[in-house]
Formats: sequence, structure tokens, C-alpha cells
Amino acid sequence: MATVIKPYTFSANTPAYAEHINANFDMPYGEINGALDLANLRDEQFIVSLNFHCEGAVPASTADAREIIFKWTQANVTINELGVAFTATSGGAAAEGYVRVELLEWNGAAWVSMSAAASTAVLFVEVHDTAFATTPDYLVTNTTYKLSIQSVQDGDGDESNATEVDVWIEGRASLAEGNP
Amino acid sequence: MSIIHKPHHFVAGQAAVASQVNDNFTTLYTAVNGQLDASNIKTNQWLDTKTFYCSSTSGTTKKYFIFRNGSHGGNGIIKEIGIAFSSNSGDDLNAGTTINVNLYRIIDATAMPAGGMSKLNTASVGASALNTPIVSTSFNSVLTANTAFVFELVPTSSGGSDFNGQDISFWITYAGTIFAPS
Repeated sequence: MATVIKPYTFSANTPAYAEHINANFDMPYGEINGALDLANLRDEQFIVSLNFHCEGAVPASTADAREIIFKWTQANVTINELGVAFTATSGGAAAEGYVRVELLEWNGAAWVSMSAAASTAVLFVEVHDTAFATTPDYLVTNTTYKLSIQSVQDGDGDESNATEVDVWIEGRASLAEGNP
Repeated sequence: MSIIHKPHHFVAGQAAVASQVNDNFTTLYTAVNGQLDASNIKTNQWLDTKTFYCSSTSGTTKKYFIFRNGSHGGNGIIKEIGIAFSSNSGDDLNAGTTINVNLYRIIDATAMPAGGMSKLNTASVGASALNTPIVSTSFNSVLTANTAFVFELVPTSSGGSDFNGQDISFWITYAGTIFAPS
């Protein structure tokens, strides 16, 4: 039903008519009883989560990466967190290098980092980053994004030998066009 | 706006003050006109499904897929987990083999996969035929907020043959709570 307007306002020293009081009550009762829609809700009340799985090994080179590209077509999403974990390794025990995932946005000419990344070096241990302090921190309607998954050397120069990498994004949305 | 409270309560036998009547209405109308939020809506009213894909398995080696229920959405009531596969390697599907899926809550990641996780599905969920989804709706816990979970894929062998299904999809459907602003 969207927004409703109160039919009557009462004045001091003026009797309130029963039908006017009833009309004032009927409107919100009718709204609450099954007619609420997105216009009645505050923005960003819905959780959105995306999950990705990267099969096989992460390239054992800091300069290389595995990439997952997706296009976001729904309403804008404010990102709460970007997370990563891996569940297997190649060649025995995990090396000490990190698996790093970074979210990038396609601006029409180039991939632009969204200034958030999460890194994990331990099998099965998830790490998530909620530090999207640098804008943009939205998944914007009809915009293309890329998750870049790469190995990062530790202090000894070891690359990650992680395989089977899971990545997720969680955010909140209004489920309506035009926000923010 | 969160939970709203009626500003004034009227007493029998006493005239209601017009401004107080107006206040009571205004509070209600303001809330309904775009200020309702998660606190005004019952929990677990929102269905979500997470779907995962695995191209193939090898022998009886288990595979794992981690996801997280973040801190913003509250607990989720798990409705079902399911699994299906849509192709196989070789000419025929190896009879008697299955691909099972289990859902665990991660308790101590450093002890995994031998320990450190608690199984949530109380019934087995295994697919053994092409394009035949198998689901379970029986769980011993919820999808707790701010917690990591892991799907475990368990291929089984039969008569010396390994599971040779491919293009394996599995999923979880749960009733979540919309975002609750802190």
C-alpha cells in the first residue's frame, strides 16, 4: 500500500467524531494486516549473501590470480563482509603463504579495488574483512565485479599451496531500486 | 524506528485531550510510513538458499565447502539441505556408489577435518542416481549468526568402483531474519 496519510486531526475543545477516530485507526490497521510493502520499511533491512567456490589450486605466484567475475543486477548492496577460507592443499601440508581475496569493481575501463581484502594462511580457518571504510563499499545495480584470488608470500618467500578456496560476500540491501 | 510505544493511554470517564489523541495516531502513522525495520517483523520470515557446485570428486576423498552466516542477520532456521548430480564420467554411473553431503558447524577450525566440527543434519543425505535430488529436513541446531559452517561431500565406492558422478550441486535453504541494525 505504500505510505498512508492520516485522514483526520483533532482539535482542542472540539468533539471528535467516532467515524473520524475509526477512520484514523482503520488506515494503519489495513496497512499492517497484509498491505505493507517496501515503502513502509527502512532502507537496508535485508541480508544478501553470495558464495563462490574456486576449485583447484591457487596459482603459486603472487603475480598471478584466479578470478571470478559476476554482475550484480539487483538493488544496491552495502557490503558487511568479504570472507575467504580454503579446505585442501596441494603437496602435503600448507605452505606458510596466504590466500588473499580482493573485490574489484569494473568502472567501464578498468578494475578498481574496493579497498577490502581478506587473507588466510591456515587450513579451514576462515578470515573475513569488514573494513570497507574506503568507498565504494556497495555492490551497485548493473555493475560488474571481480573476485581476485591469489597467493601472497609470507616473510620467508613461501607461496600458498591452498586448493578449494571458498569466498563469500555478505551485505544488506533495501530490495528496491535507487538506494542509496 | 524499531519498536514503537503508544504515547498516551486514556482513562474511562475522562475526556481525551485532542493533542494526545493526535500524538497516538502520529506515532503509528510515522512508523508505518517508511520507518518499520527488522524489529517490527517476526524473526525468520525470510527464505534464502545457498547453492554450491563441485565438478567432480576423486576416489573416496572428502571435499569441503565453507561459508559463513554473518553477524548481521541473526540465526537461521535450516529448512533443508539437498544434493544432486547431473552427469558422470565413463559410459555408465557406477552402481551402488553415492555422493553424500553433510552440514557441520565449525567449532575449532584448527582441528578440522578430523574434529572441531559439529554435524547438524541428523539424517543421511546421499544421491546415487543421475538428476535425482535428495534432501533432508531434519537438523539438530540452527544456522547460528556470526558462525562459519562447512559442507562435507563424501563419495562412496561399491564393488571396487568409485563414485563417478560429476557436476554435483548441493544447497541449503534456511529461514533467516532480515538485517537488524545495531
